[in-house]
Amino acid sequence: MTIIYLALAIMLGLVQFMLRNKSLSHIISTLSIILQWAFTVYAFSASGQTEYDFFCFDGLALVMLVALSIISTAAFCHSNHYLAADEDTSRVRAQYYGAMQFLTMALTMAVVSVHIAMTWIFVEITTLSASALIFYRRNSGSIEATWKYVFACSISLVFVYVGILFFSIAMGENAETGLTIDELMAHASQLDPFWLKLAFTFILVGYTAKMSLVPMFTAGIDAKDKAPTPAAAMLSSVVMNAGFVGFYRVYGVVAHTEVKKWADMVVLMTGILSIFVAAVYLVRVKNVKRLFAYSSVEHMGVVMLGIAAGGVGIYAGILHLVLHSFVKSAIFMHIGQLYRVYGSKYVDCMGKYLNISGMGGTMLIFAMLCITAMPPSGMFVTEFMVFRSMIDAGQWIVMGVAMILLTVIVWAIGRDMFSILFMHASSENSKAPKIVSAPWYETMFQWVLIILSIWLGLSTPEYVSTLVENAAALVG
Amino acid sequence: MTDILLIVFSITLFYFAIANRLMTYVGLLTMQGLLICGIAIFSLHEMNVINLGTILLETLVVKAIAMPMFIRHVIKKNKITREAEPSVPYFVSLIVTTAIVVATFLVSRMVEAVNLNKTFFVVALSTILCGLYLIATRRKVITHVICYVIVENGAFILSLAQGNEMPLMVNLGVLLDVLVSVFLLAIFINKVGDVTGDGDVSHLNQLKD
Repeated sequence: MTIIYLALAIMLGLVQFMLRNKSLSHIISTLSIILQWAFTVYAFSASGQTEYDFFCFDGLALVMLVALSIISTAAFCHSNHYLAADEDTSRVRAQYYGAMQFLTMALTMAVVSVHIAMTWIFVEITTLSASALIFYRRNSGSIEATWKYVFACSISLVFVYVGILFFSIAMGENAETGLTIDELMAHASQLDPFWLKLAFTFILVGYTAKMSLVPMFTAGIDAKDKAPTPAAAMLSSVVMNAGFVGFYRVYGVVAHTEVKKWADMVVLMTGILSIFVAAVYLVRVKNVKRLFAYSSVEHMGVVMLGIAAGGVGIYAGILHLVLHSFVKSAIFMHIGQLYRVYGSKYVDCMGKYLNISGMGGTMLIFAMLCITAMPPSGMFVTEFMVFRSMIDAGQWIVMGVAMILLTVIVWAIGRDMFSILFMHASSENSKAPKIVSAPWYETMFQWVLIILSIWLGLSTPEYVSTLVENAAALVG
Repeated sequence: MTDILLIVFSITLFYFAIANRLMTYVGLLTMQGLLICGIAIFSLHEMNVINLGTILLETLVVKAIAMPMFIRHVIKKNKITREAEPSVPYFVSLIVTTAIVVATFLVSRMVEAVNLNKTFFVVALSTILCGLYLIATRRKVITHVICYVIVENGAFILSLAQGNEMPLMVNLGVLLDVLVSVFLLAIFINKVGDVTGDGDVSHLNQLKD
């Protein structure tokens, strides 16, 4: 079934590339969404099974797959309206939809792969398809962003590749059995610690480009700034999740060896440094898209803190990641609307948003509460759990530093959001706001995503928590 | 024989450090491609014929012929100036390259691995590190692409070190080559040249906070 999905998804992507007709593009997009959901339903029905040795529908895969299907559906629908506002050529539109389809396919395959090399291949394909999306505007800014993204991601993926090679060296004489996660787990105790450390470092550094973490986060920031908003929504949510899956499966193997303590230290450093970098940039950034791109760096840092602390922190980290992807994609989609109203991405060119658009303003207030992890945000609960696990792990100092940095971040985001909602635009360059009505489905998707993130965090349904527990159990 | 080829390969790294013309870089890339092809022939003798054929074809056609040709074409088309214009003196680059090679050599003395040839490891790791160093110290976009290819060559040599046991990984390395370097990086350079006028990466610094 996985192969059938892969074949159909590639076919739909190729058809999109060739189409020049708008309505046909929309029909094919609808087919893509149906295919995506059909595969998701199938994955649930085959829960726990492994296909062709390479793909497995375990808890981690399922939870990420559902998040991906929901967000990609929203992104496809959102694209319809986004592209309609542009006077672009049919060729550019065809490339956009084709790339979007390939991105969705690659992300799906990346999260269900349990062979580290297979995950690597599909993450590589996300780089290529995402770069076509970032290139959409075809101006000097988007060229620069695409160039940086492709270059940084390619270098990072070479790192991951080298990491995988080191992994096979660490396997020693067992290398011929293959590099599936099950095999690696089975031989975990025999892995050579030196090579394992080297492999883990390379793989972690490599995947940080996708996960938006220190050290390779910069490429993602420019990409999210310059990509069309539906694509930026994908880049700052599900693409990060796919990078996380790649990293987490490897971490799961490392956690079963004597290197675990050392690996936790590395993950902890990455997490706290990411929150620090995010705090520093968030204070001075004035571009809304970059603001929320840096906020992704922060949230991924929190997830890493949870993973490093272990225990309930791993559960909280994975749930946090899912909730973050819902909120962040909703916010990026709303930024599309903001841009249509103000004709600018800069905070000081926006103002009195609540007066201009009551519905949009309310949406932005909820989004702000959710992204800063204030109650009733679901992320409040998960962040709380992460900090509790840090206390259990005795990481008091790091927790204190993280809390101070998070306070700074809440202040920075709050300042900018309140300025957009209630103050007058302060810049001389600001244009008169245009009253634009968003189509119902756009507003609906944003609200659905926000409500999902609140509901899943505050009263996590049992089947969701079981899935996340399964995912957390990989670390054991 | 493999050892001799590997040593010659690491000598090209020193040449990269002091070369000041772009065409020298391209020439060196061709040479690296040929050397890798040779290394593959001598080291992958246990592999089946079809697999080995694909790898040799890829190293020869893509690494030694297509990529240098394409980069040469891009340099001519975009009228990129011939100088490499490094941001540090050549002498410093030479010292750093030497330091990297010596350091990886010392590291290799300390590690033990049953399924790894040490010479491969030293050459591969120093190639990757030198490539990264060159990326950091050269300004032009086109030199970044060239240095990326060097990094990739390093990764490829590392995969050859255990290629007989892990043919899948070698094939993945081939995939990485074909997908990224040929298909995207090189094509993209054309577009950068169209917009910025020349291939100077200093034009690509508008996005910042």
